[in-house]
Amino acid sequence: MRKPPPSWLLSVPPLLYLLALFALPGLLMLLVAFRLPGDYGGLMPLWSDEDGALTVNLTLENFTRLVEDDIYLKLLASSLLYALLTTALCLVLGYPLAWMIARSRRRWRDLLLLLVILPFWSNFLIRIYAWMIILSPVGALSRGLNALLEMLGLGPVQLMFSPTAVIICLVYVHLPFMVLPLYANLEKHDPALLEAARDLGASAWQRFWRITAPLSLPGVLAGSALVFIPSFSMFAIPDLVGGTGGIMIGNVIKQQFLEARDWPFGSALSITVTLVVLALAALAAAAARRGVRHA
Amino acid sequence: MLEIKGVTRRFGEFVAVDQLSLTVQAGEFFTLLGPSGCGKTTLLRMLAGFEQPDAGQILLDGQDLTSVPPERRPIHTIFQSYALFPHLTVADNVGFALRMAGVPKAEIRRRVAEQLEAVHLSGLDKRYPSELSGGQRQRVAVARALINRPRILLLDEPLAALDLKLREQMQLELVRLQREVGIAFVYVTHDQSEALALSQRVAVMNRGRIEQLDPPRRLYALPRNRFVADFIGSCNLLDAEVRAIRGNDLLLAVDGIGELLVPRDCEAWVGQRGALALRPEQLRLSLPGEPAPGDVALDGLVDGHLYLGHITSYQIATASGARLEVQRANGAPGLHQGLDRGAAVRVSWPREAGRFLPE
Repeated sequence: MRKPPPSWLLSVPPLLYLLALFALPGLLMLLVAFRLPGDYGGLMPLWSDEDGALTVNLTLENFTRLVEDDIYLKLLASSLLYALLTTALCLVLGYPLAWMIARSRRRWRDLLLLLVILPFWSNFLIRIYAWMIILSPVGALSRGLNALLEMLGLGPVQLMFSPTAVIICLVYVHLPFMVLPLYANLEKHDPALLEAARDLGASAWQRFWRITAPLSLPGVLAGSALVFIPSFSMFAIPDLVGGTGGIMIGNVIKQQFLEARDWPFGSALSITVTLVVLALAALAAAAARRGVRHA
Repeated sequence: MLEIKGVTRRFGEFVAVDQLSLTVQAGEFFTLLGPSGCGKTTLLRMLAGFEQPDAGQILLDGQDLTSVPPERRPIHTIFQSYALFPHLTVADNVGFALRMAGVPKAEIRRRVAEQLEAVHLSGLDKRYPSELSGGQRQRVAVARALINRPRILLLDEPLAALDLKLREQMQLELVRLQREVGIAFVYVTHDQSEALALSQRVAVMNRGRIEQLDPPRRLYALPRNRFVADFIGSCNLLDAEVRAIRGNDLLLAVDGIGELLVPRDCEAWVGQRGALALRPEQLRLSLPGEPAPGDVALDGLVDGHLYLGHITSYQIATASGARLEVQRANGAPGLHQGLDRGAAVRVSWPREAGRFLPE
């Protein structure tokens, strides 16, 4: 009889995949962050031999620069704020939607889910261009809003090229990533639990906060991670609709690689962003572990 | 006292509960028994408030409950799946109703401890439902439903998920608990032996109506119609027609047997069609040629038998063309063991064992 293949063999393909597409690029990034930029972009050779004196071109300067010039930390903080606000708004908008879809009749559900993912069928940039039209000063939204503000005796506001525009687009783009995991969670809830709670005297409000909300925590966390992580490092949206006030850390990283051609500094910024995300993820996981265990 | 007056519930064309009326006395163990789809669960859900009757009234001690939402009815339910809250500990599950009612924390703790002791779950208060056995989950469900002293407890097939041994044990416990708390239990089941074992009265339901409402002994001994006789226990039912009425007896013409007399215990008229009911344990077996112990005797052959431990069930094909099930206690004196297929036997029964059931 042939021996069955050892079970670790099964995990080889995903490990290779993670190694090639995640660990190696990450490591490369980390190494580059300690190098010096080349004179015409790229990297300076690892060592140079000038007059017989061997110099190793490694430095911590990229990280000290990041800390010393407070513009980067401020940008990091404001990007964090954008991402958190986006996550919160997606949660507030997405939860009722996911709940409604999960509670609707089965034959409606597929159609509603299709509508949620329908935006993915057109290109991301095209959808942002569409928002540029909607938010522009001559667009109906701005005009209507300003007409309303004028009646209240308030000055006109500009939506386009502002942090507001960035938030609107971030929320718009990431909302499906919140709705889908929430729906997947809420749809599995046993309706008998809500009946039992009601039977035991729980009002609609109590039923939500005591039963539905804690049981949906895994869905909330999954959705929040899927929204928070890409929002935090987004550069295309602030580039297109943010103007000068709505800049994010992603823009600076992109600038370092493509315009300033300072790969090492761009890598240092990237690594920092990754570390912040990992730290937050660890924090959320630790905080949620107790609540999620039995849900 | 719980009064159900002319309650009807329709789902589209389907009438789940059809103008049903009954009264559950205070402190009574009352059972709704019937096959799946007979409307018993729908009726229970109307008592809990999860379904609204299309017509009729539900009164608790004279107060109309029809428009009272479930969260404000002094009636609690034990669900078939138990519906324990998976994210709450045993103590939080049991104390849920008190917490919703805003009872102070210290009192909740005290009463939860008390309630857990009553169902023998002390010490498990910090466990989660996923860490409990089936029987323990059932007890948590019972404790949770009883903690704020409802006036009626509804139980929706609460033992269906347990294995036989545990089910019997929990049956005894439910009866004990019901006596202790002294409130009415309305119990839904499709298991006739459970209904007989637990209840003071049983309503046998079929197609949204009550076929018979009686104490278990009466239900078993005097089923009112074919459905009830067939549903409660096992019963030989042979098509029959009333030929004549002779004082307190009926002369029946029975398919596969011929004419015989049975006691008259219901309204009957000549020419009425129905069935002769014979409980298998009331039939006797003897060898051909031996004197038969009963008044009516038929010769036949053993067509098959099932050994069930305490009894053996024989399928007998009589020479006259009827098929009868006969149950014999194993180890009973008389006929020796081991009647094989094909053995010639004589089936007999006392005249009073037979009953005529109108259609």
